[in-house]
Amino acid sequence: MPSIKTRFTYRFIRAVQKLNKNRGVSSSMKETYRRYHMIRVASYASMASAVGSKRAWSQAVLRKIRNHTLHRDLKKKCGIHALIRRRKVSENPRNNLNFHQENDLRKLVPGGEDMDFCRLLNETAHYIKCLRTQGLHPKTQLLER
Amino acid sequence: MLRCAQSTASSPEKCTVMGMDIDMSVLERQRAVLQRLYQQQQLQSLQPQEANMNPLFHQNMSNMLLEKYQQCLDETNLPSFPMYGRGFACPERTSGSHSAVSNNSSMTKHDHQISSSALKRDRTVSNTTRKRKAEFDVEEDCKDKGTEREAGEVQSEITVKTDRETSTNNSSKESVQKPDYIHVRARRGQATDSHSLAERARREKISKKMKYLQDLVPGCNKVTGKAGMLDEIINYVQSLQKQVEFLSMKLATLNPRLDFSIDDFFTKEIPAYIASFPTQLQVPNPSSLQYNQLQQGALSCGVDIAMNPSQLLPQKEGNSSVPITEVYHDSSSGHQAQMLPTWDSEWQNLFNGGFH
Repeated sequence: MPSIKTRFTYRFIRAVQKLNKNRGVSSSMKETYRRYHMIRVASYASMASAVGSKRAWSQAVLRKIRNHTLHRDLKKKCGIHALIRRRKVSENPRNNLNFHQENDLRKLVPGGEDMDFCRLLNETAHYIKCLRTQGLHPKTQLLER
Repeated sequence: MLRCAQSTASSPEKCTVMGMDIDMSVLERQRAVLQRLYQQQQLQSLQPQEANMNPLFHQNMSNMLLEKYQQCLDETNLPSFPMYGRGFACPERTSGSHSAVSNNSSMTKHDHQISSSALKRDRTVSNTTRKRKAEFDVEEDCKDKGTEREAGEVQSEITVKTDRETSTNNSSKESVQKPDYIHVRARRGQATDSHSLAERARREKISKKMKYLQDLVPGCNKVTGKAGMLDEIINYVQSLQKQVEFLSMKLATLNPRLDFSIDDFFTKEIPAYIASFPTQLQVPNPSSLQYNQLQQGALSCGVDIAMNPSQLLPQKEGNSSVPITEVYHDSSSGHQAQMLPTWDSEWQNLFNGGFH
C-alpha cells in the first residue's frame, strides 16, 4: 500500500500534465491566474483523493470540488444535514471554551464547521500532516526544472 | 490494604464482637468478592501493595459489576451505612495494621473500594462503561441526599459516595495502599458527580490531542495554554496553505516552459508490460497500469532526481519528463491495482469538470 505521499504525487503530477497539455499558448495575466487557480485546486483535490474518504476534511474537500464543478450555485453548506450538525455544534456549551480561536480553526480546516472540538483537533492534526507533504514534496521537485 | 480487607472479610465476627450491627449477608458477599480479588491478585502477579496500582485497571468497569454493587448497596439500609463503615473501621483500628490507611475515612472508603474494585477487576471493559458508572453515581447521589462530600476528601473515589460521615476526617493524601480504582481519579477538592466526570474525561482527551498537535506544529513548545497553542496552530495551518498557494502560483508561471509527456513516455513501455499484467485490470490509461506494476521497494523520502532510472525506463536526454518519471518509479512501491484506477477515474472526472 503506497503512502499518501506517493499517491498524492502521482495524482498531482498527472493533473499538472493535463493542465499543461491543454493550455493555450498565451501567457497573459489572466491565463496565468487561471492556471494558478487550477493548479491549486488540483493540489488540494489530489491530496484529498489520495487520503480518501476516511477523513472528514478530505471528504469535505472532495465534496466542495464536486459541487463546484457540477452545480455552480449549489453549495453544500446549505444542505440540511450540514445545517443540523452545525446547529448542534454551536449549541453545545462544551464547544465554546476558546471561541474565537476555535472558530478560526474551523474556518481553516475544510469541513471543520460541523464537528465538535475534539474531532476538530483530530482532523487538524491529519490535515497538517497532509498539508506538509502537499506543500513540499512534488512542487519542489517540479520547480527545480 | 488487602491484608486488612482480608482480615475484615475473614472475621466478621469481630464486628459483632464490637457490638456493631452489621448485616452479615453483606459481609459474606464482601468476603466472596474479596476472595476473588485476592485470587486475581495472585494470578496477575501484581506489584507490591505499596506500589501504585496499575492504571489499566482503572478503566475496568462493567454493567454487571455495577449491578452487583448496586445489589450490595440495596440490601443494606441506608441508615446502616455509617455503621457499616464504622464496623469495618473497627477491626482496622484494633488490628492496628499499618497497611490500613492513616485515617478512618480512608479505611472505610477502602472497604467499599475493595469490593467495588474487586468487582471491577473481574471484567475488562471499554471506556463506554464510564458513562454507565456515571449514571450509577447519579443514582447514588440521589439516594444519599448528596452533599458534595468530595469537597474535603482525599482521593475521593466514585464508589465512596455512600460513605458520607467520614468525609470530614480526611487529612492525608496517601494513595499507597489503595486497591485498584476506577478510571478517573478525582483530585483533591474536585467534584465527582457525573457531569463533571464526563467533563473532566473530555478535557483530558482534548489536552491529549493538543499535546499531539504541539508536537506536530513547530515552535509550539514555548507557548503554554490552550489559547496560545490554538493561535500557533492556526498560524501554522495558514502558513502551510499560503505555501501551497505560492508554490502553485510559481508552477503556473514557470511551467509553460516544461513539457511533461509522461503519457507518451509510458505508451512506449506498454507492450513490454502488458503480458505481465493481470487480465482483469481495467486500464483507463496506460500510465496507471505502469504505476501499478512497478515495484521499486522502499519509498525514499527525498526522492533523488539524479537517481538512475529503473531498467524499465530507457533514458531520454532532453526530455524533461524523464526525471519526473524517475521520481515516480523510484518512489513507488506496491500499489493496489484496483484502487488506483477507480480513484483516477474519479479524479479525472473531477478535474475535467473543473477544467471547463
